[in-house]
Amino acid sequence: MKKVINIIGSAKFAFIVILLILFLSMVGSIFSESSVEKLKHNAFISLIFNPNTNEFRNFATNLGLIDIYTTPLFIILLALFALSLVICTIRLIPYAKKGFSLLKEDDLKSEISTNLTGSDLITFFNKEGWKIDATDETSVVRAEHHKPGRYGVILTHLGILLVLFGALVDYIYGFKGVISLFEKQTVSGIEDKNGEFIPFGFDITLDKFSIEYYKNTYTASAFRSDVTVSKDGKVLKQDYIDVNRPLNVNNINFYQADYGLAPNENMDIYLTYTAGTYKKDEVLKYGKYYQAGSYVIAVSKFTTMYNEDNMTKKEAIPAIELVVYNQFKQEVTRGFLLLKAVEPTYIDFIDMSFHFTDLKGVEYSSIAVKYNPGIAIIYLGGILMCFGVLFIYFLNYTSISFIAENGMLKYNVRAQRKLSLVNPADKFYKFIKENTDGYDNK
Amino acid sequence: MDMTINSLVIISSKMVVMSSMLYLLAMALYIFYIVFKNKKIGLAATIMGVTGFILHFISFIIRWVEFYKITKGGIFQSIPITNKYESLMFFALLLAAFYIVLEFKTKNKSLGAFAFAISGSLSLFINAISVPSNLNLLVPALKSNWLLAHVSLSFTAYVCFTIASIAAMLYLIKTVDSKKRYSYIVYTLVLGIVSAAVITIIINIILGQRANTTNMIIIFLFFAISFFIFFYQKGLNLKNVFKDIGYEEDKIESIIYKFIAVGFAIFTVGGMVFGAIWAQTAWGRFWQWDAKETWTFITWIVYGIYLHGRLSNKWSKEFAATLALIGFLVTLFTFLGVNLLFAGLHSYGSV
Repeated sequence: MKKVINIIGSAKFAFIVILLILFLSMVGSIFSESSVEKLKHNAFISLIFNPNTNEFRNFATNLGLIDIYTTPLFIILLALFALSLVICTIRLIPYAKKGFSLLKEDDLKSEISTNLTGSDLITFFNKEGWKIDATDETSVVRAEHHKPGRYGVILTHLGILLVLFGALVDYIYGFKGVISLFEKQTVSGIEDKNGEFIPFGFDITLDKFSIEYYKNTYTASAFRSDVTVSKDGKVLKQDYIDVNRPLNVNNINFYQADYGLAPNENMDIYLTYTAGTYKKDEVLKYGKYYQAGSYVIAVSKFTTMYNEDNMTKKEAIPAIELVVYNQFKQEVTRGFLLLKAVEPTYIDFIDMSFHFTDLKGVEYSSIAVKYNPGIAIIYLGGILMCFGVLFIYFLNYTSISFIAENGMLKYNVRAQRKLSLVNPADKFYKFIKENTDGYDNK
Repeated sequence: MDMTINSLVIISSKMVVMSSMLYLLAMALYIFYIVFKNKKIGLAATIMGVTGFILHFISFIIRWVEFYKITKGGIFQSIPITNKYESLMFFALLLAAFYIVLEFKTKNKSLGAFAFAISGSLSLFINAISVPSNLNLLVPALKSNWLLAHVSLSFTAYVCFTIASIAAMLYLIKTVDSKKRYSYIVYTLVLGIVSAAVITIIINIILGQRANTTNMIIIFLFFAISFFIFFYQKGLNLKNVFKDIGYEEDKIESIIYKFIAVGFAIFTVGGMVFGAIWAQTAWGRFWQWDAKETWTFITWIVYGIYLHGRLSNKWSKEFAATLALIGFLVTLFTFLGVNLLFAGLHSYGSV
């Protein structure tokens, strides 16, 4: 058992596991649900796999390359990494607790002749915030600084372990999904990956979905969902979900993930038409017929069209296909109208113009749902990681043992990190340099 | 997504062009300084670099203010680092700033030619090849104070890693004297890959939507191999150029370590932890193995390995410098390659 622990806790083992994790991560970043469809059209891949079939996807799936991060192999590697980290961290604790030991006079290898006395140095160290262990001026004194630096590595490792543990708790007990809601629609749960229904324990209703656009564009500047949370018909809460402002109900979080346009029977299509001098605003329903002057009109299709205003940007604009019939329901003409086009579309041979001015009831709100019981652990891990790395690189635990007698200063400087960003001993060297005549010549 | 442009934004872009020219002029002067060791030339190089930086900084502030007026969000949500143009400009600005601080602290000008070559050519190329410099309207997901905390800190870390890699390159150029050394192969390979990456990015941007991934990979491989062969053949000549630059090898080695250590700490806090918190707030999951996240993780691990190896004192300095260069390749891919090659949650920066 001890041998196994030694192997798993060794730097070599950790290194090999990390390299394997790195390799699989690289592979995983290439093969994803979305990328595999693009990859199969790649010139090299299409030489082997028919790009018009799912051959490549099936091949990648069978090898476990898609979503590699949830495969048993990857999870086992993460577990081994965690185990290695646990052993390494436990081994570090005794040293961190103990720190640098007290030294005897014989251990003080550096010496310098100086007028400084022990009490001068103790005063200096006290002023600089060092911790002094012995105040007896006749024995070796130990001054220590940046003591929390000893715990930097332990905190960082502990942070990583907590993040991994929190992720495990989430993986086992958490759930996630996306719900798409039209206004006035209610849901009471989501389906998980296996199609099993997971109830929230309450109902959530989308009261109102609103989008604000940047002026004269269809670029959303903000969108939010006003919702009501209820249980057994009783309203528990009325609140809103905004991007970057999720709603938490009984530890289930609802995030404003996205929105979309879906044509439906209830949407309102605002159309202004003119026939000669006659002008009318009409609210149309999808697929229904309306009298417009001496013609009949109907919306037959709903789509989005791109307005390419330059090489790199595209803007999706809702568009309807309007069909114009004569009184015998024979088609006269048809064409697409862009929402809020600058000018109405004029059709000369029927002397009518049409302007698609507004659209309501077509947007649905995409709300991501996430229950993550491990999130508090993950946050704690994140905080520990932050403090840990700051402790490691901005604190350098240093111990200076010294004895000053008969015009001689004997000392020993030990620092946790030889190569470091900060070196508390520098001030000590500066102090003895400034207070020792002819220091530079020694 | 629409874009907005006004006269101040145009002035800001022109100022960047001017500052990039000053950077390149500074680079030329730093090279003259290294070759001729003339103090006046050295001073002129520093003045040129600092002036370029001040101009660049003012243009950044103008852009920030204009962006703030348009987005009408918080001041921290309007920092102009939300698209390819802005992020590369921010990177160039930080690199110039960090180098200037380093020069004033170490009183040594040896790395100036490298740093200003990168800052200057990056800003000039991005301007010259018509990457849209207009202000992008901010999508709701980016309207968060975490934008400043996560993105700017990540870029700061990238800059630290870049400076460390410049120092590592210098260290290996100075110390390696045989073509048979693994470190020689790595540093000439890195020179080849970086040169090829710059050319490929330019071609990619020129072609715009006509560029496809396969062609880009072929172009990149062609240039990478060609440049690698060239640098492998001629690399030892660089040793003569940098033989007398005033930096002791240990000093360069310490610069590599310190910049990686600072970069790693910033990357852990800003790139990993703050990014995870923002993702949790905006998307409901702290980590999703999105391509950018995965490569951030890979970068973090590579530098983590470097720091562990360096602290254990078991590695040779040559090996550590070589790993620092490999880390830079990974950083380059995380910063630019991921956005060019993969679609994902972090695709804002690919615009």
